[in-house]
Amino acid sequence: MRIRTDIILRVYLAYAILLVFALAIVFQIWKIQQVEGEKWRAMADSLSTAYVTVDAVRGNIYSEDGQLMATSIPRYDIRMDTRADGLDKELFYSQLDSLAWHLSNLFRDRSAARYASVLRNARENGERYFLVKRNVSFNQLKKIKEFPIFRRGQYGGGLIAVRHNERIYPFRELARRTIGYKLPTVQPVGLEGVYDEYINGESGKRLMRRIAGGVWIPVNEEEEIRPVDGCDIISTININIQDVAHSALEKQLIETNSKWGTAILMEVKTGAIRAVVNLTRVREGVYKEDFNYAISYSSEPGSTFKLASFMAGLEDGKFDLETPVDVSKGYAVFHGLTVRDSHTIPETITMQRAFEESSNVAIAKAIHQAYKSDPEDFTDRLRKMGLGQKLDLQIPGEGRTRIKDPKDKDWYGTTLPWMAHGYEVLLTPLQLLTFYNAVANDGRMMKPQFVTQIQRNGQPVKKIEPEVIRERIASRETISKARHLLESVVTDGTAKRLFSTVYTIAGKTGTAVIADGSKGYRQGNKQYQASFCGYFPAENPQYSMLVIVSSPTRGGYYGGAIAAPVFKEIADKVYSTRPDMQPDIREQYPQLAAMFPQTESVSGNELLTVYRKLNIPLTVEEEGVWMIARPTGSALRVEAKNFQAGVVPDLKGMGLADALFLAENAGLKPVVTGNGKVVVQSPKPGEKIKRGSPIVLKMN
Amino acid sequence: MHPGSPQKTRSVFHNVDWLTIFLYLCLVLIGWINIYAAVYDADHQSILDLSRNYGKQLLWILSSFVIIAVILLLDSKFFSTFAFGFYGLTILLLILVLLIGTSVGGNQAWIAIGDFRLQPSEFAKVATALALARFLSGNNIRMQDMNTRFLSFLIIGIPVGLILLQKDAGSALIFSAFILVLYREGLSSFVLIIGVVLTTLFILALVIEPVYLALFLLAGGGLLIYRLRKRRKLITMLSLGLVISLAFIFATNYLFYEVLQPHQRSRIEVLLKDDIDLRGVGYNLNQSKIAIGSGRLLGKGFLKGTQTKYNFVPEQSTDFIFCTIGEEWGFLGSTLVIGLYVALLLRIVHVAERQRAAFTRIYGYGVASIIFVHLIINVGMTIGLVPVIGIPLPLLSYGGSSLWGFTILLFILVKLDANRMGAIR
Repeated sequence: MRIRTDIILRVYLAYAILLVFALAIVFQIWKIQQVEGEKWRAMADSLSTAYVTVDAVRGNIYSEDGQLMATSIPRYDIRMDTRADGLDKELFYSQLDSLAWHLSNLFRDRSAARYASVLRNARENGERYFLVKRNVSFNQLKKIKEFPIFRRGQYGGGLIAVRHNERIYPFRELARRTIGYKLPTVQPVGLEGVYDEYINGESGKRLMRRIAGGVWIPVNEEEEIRPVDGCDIISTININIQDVAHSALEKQLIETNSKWGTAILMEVKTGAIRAVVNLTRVREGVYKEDFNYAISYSSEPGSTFKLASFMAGLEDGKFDLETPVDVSKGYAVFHGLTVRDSHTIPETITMQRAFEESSNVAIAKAIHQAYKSDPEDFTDRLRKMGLGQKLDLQIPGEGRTRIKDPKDKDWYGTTLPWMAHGYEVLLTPLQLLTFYNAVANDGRMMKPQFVTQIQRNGQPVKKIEPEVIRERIASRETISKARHLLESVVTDGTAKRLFSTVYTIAGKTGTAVIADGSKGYRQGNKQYQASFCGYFPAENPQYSMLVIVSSPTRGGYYGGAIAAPVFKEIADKVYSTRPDMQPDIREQYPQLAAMFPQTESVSGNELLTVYRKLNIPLTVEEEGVWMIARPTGSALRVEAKNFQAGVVPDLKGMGLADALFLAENAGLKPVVTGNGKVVVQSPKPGEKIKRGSPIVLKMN
Repeated sequence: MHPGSPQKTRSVFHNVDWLTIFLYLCLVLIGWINIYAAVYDADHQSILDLSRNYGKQLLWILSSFVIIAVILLLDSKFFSTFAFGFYGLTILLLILVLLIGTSVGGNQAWIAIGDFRLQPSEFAKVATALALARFLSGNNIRMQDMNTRFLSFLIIGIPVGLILLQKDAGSALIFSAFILVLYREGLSSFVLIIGVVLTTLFILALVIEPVYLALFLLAGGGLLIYRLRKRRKLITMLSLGLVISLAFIFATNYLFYEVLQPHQRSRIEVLLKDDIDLRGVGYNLNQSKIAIGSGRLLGKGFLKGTQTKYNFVPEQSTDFIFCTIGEEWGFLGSTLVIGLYVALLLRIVHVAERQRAAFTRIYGYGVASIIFVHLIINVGMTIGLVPVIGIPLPLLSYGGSSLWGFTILLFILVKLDANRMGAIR
């Protein structure tokens, strides 16, 4: 009986243990799911998966002429999940050598054996995010996706391509500051910064999961939310002009060992900025785009401002171009302070002559005389001409501008005469240029424009039209007088060296003494800012330009000597690349007009096309496949040229394309030396052809 | 022994325990569906896709049915007769695996024949259960005899030793299930008590500083001895127990930090010390808990589990299949599965107890114990009750050897039970 109860007890105990454990399990599940549920669910998100931002491809920045100034190219880090679900041992090892060979062949950085051993190790260590190669291009990635094992994708072959974008600036230093940049920790600069919201696109999201070892790998092969690529920006910069301006300014800065310089070229009609160069000396002989002087640097402009003073006086009828002014002493004293001329002209001169010679004394005296009782009239007039106002540019960071008001605390008795020759006013280079551009544009002030269009996939998203700031800054007469003054500076004044017979430049030199921060206008060690502001061609202005060279230490400091040559170099190159700005060549060189371009035997159709296009008078005797053109008095005589079969053709004077065609057609084997047109041929024309024999053609 | 009905005409299903078969089918089906859910990917949607684990599992299930048919067709005496034969054969296989076995996940436990891989330790459980039943059901065998105990432990110990040599500690641990069988057959409760006490001390020694634990034990023991000072015999035993316990505590520390492999140690540490290193060793357990925890009451729904789908949980179709159930079917689903197991186990114990033949009864207890230990350890590890030990969940986990092993284990019992009337000895 005791044994029996003992056994029954033991059986019950078996049941009990079973139930206790079962209940314990159920309780634990309940605890995990209900009591600690929140904790685990929260962990599920934080520990294992996360949506990681995938940057969109940044849009491009194009120049006006369609060149890429800034672009992003995708780069990939190739990683391998050597323990991918679908990548079993047999598959891995059977195709490993083949994969290694392909990788080695593509990158040529490691031998196939090396790749194989590296990957084998990775698998043996259970690496799930093994770095195979960094910074792989898209084309390379395409090839990698065809490789053995990798062609099976992420799950089947463990291929993980992690994309990142690399920003490149194909033209490097050109307009660097204006194109700008965007770096993670720095305030964005330039177009990259301003149009960031357009260029940046919308980032996508990619579900990443954590795997053992604390690395994140994408869950799916594609992004869950695909990034929307950024828009493209079409800027007004013309890369060719920019290049010209950049090298011209850089050369001068190096030559004069100046501190910094800027050159801005603006299209007169639209205000479009075609080039903007900002160069800062890094060390002697090395200049970098480092600070956007053109839009940010505000300073006292000096003599270039005299144009505004003159225009104010002219507009208000205070004086005229012929009004005489006595500058014979070379200085004038206002309230105890002296205004001096850089060179004394010992006589009484006209106001026009004073402008040409950039006399400080003359304009100081004239303005002081005219406005001393009502200085507001002068400052109001300047404001009416669009000065003293910010331009509200597309690029941020515009420097401040200031035209003093007689009510201001710092308005002194000397302010008026000093303002007259460009001191006690603040302007940025671009603000000054905008004013000059308005003069060139018959009084219509255009807002400087940096961007004309925002595009997506070549389709415009936003068009930015040229903007008029002020329809007319001064009367027609004043404008035409102002333009006359600017032209005479080049023909007779301080910028004579800009004179050219081909086209005319109008503009004003400026040589300002710079206030050096707290030290003021340092005596003894004066710093100068040489500038030239103007436009060209003078009679039909297309471009206005401002060149500033600051603190030159070699070769003088006058605007006419330091800045004007840069202006001319840039203007010359721009002019030479714009045939539409140039007068007809026949008017320019009448001696050429009488010459006719004669031709030895050439392809007939092409010859007629060219001649007709160029409006060359010709008489066609006979049309043929090959033609010859000879001058006869007042016209070209065009006749057909026939080649006799079986005889060596006369190839002299022909281009290579035609000569080869004819020679090979005749059964000869051409042997060519040199380039140009055929000058010597052997065998000579008219000889009998031996098929397959060589013909030597000397080109020159 | 019905003279009128010859054996031939009798159906193979004659007298089988349908409830057991029903529970078996339920669990196998649940397993198949959850393997599908665990390794589901959109590229291979067909549950019949043979390139995927769920397609293969179907093959294993179908072949299991063939095995069932064969078992039911065999004479029930076959199993008791050849019990030692099977045992010998599996021992040979276990030795063979050590010599020519292939290694999967660190355990050299597989014999590969072409694409086909066999895990002899799965079959060793069946053979050991049969051999133990055969031995204990023999005439004049009494659990009280030292000899019997020694031979019983030897029968269990040989395969355990061989499996430990394969570095498959998990499978070896399963054989501790047979202690329950021995207990049912009359092994002194003393052994069980010692087992429980030692396990408790082991855990305590790892959680509490050994010195404090020793002081605590000494204080408690001293008090007890003082109280029972008049019962000399008990005092002697208690004192002896105390000394052994103290030795054990300090031995544990040595054992734990010097003898156990680092990965084994960390698995236990993860369990006892909360939230250590979520990204390293604790990763598996945490992922498993996250999967189950995110299931809530009703689960996320079939194929909607993300934790398991994205492979956060390792081995999610084999050892951690329970996570998929927890995540996709929630508390109710997991409780239902546990309920099915408990029902199956109770049914097996019930079946065992109704036998007249000691062989069948002992074997039945063997079956129940093995399934029970598997269930406790496997589910326990997914929910953080037991250290992570890589053993499958019976009938549910993916894997041919495992499914075949449990099918054979269970259906030998079904066959023996079906013949219970004729098997009077």
